[in-house]
Amino acid sequence: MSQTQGGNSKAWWLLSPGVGLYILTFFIPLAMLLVLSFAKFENSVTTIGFFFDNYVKIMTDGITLTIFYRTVQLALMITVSCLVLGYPVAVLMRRSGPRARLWLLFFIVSPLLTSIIVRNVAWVLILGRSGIINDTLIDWGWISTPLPLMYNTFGVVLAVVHVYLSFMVLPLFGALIAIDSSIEEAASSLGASPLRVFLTVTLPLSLPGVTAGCTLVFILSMGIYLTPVIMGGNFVLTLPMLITDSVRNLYNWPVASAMALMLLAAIGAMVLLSARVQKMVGG
Amino acid sequence: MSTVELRKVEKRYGSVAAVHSLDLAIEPGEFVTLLGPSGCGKSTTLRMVAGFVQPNAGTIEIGGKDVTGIPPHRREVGLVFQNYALFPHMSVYKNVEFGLKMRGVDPSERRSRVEEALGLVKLGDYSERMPAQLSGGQQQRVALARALVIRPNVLLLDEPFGALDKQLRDHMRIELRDLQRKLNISTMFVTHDQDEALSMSDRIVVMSEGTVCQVGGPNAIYEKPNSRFVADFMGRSNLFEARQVDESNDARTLDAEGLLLNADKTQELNGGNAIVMVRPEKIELLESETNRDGSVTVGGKIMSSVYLGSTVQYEVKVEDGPTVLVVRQNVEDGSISAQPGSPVFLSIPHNAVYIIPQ
Repeated sequence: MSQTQGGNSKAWWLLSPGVGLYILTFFIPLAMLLVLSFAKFENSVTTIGFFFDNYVKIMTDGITLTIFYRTVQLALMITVSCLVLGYPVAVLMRRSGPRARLWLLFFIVSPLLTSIIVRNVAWVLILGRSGIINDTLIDWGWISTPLPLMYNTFGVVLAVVHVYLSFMVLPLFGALIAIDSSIEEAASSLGASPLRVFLTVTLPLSLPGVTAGCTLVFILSMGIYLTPVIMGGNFVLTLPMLITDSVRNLYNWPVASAMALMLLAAIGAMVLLSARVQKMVGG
Repeated sequence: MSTVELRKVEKRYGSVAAVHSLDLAIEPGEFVTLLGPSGCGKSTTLRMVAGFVQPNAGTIEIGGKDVTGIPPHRREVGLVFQNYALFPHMSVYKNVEFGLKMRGVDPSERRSRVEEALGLVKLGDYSERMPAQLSGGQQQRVALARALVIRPNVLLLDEPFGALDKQLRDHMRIELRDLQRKLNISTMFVTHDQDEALSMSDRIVVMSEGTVCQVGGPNAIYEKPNSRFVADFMGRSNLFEARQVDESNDARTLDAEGLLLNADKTQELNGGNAIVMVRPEKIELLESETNRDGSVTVGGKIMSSVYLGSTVQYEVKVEDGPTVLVVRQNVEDGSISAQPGSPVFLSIPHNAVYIIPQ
């Protein structure tokens, strides 16, 4: 036992490749981001130093903050949609036999096995102005003009939820499967109706999965770029799009760095919040 | 009126009958144990009474009311599981209060009833603890309080002591039995442990493969099993195939695989052959051949002896006969040399020879 509990210090070197990679690809770029965000960008020249110009700019130019709020809003919409759609799936998976469970898992994870471009183009074919849905409904005479199914928030949320659902369902399923079903039976025999068993026992005990899934989906959703480009046209703007624009079209790395750190701060806030919820429920 | 009554209850999974045409009644205040090996249908029966399993046929009544098809939360049963199944996110107090809340009992009455129930299981000082902070025995007492506080018609216990260590189990046995008597609550207890069944029950229902083998008091089940299965399942026993070779006014002489035994004639013998049971603790071991009234004495050789602390278990090979299991209280001071190979004599009283009804 003592060997596995850290008594064997020789095993530490096994961690070094992972730690090395982490430092190289995460900590160093992050430090560079931090330094750059305080640099000055004037007449296409970057001056390293300690200036607040970039932060002042993104807080006051009106557009960055608005897009930041919209990004958070969009991420929250995606997270809540995933939770609402994913919970019943996780419950169903828990109640299924091993075979059915495997099939459900396959269906949920299958979008991840497809390239993001293929997936989004497929959505265009389905949801577009002359996509399958609009064409069919017009053919049947149910509508006369195409429904606005994409180039708006709805289309983006739908296409993102399609992929990120698996990141919600898996932690939820993990939390649900860990609940001893005799605890629910005990509640039931004590007079709780199925709904009250769910509200008083199943839901509270599955909260670790809820917070894990929500955190994961929220973090991922804060970084969506390609899907809003394809599915949103120019109508849905996210902060990652703005960052890309700053770097590629304006060559303004300093302001892009400040925006990236703003994104990071929002994610950090979400992680803290979920940790807090976790602690509150855990007693 | 019985508290619980099962009539011709049947549960099939596919073509396999988990419970087959079961009739069972529990009288008010009675402690009934369902006993059997795993897979015998005892837990399924309990779960049918609780309402988690729907029978394919038959009816179940609780408190004189037909509850067949009624969901568990409207059945008024108190259920205790082997793994306690306490709500891990609620304090002891909240756990016990849960059933009262679901019933809409008003807060002041809730408080007094929870405190009373926790007092019953001697956990009054633990109400603010979380389940994870309690020992196994304490958790099971909370589970018991939680089941009792709703004043159920019947208490259902599914192997409640299975997860406890032996000393605690023995202690909890006595505590539960005392509590059950004090509250005079009808109880259905499921176990595979014959010691538990014998020590606690008013009545034992021995089950095998979905059917009831025998119903009776602990004494009747142990002393007069109605089948080879029950004899075998209830403790250690010597079972011999026997046929009658002689008969006098008050006794039959039986040839039990080469061992001649006398049995009281009050026991019926259908046909010439029978299976006889001799409990190993009723056989006496003697160092020299001593004839006693009402006993047969035969010679043999000790094959093995197993020291079990309070008892010693011997295997004795009878000359030209079977190997006989003998259990003696460990009170002698080594007067019998227990070495394998040493010769001994077995004294088997008439009334220890029991003919299992065919």
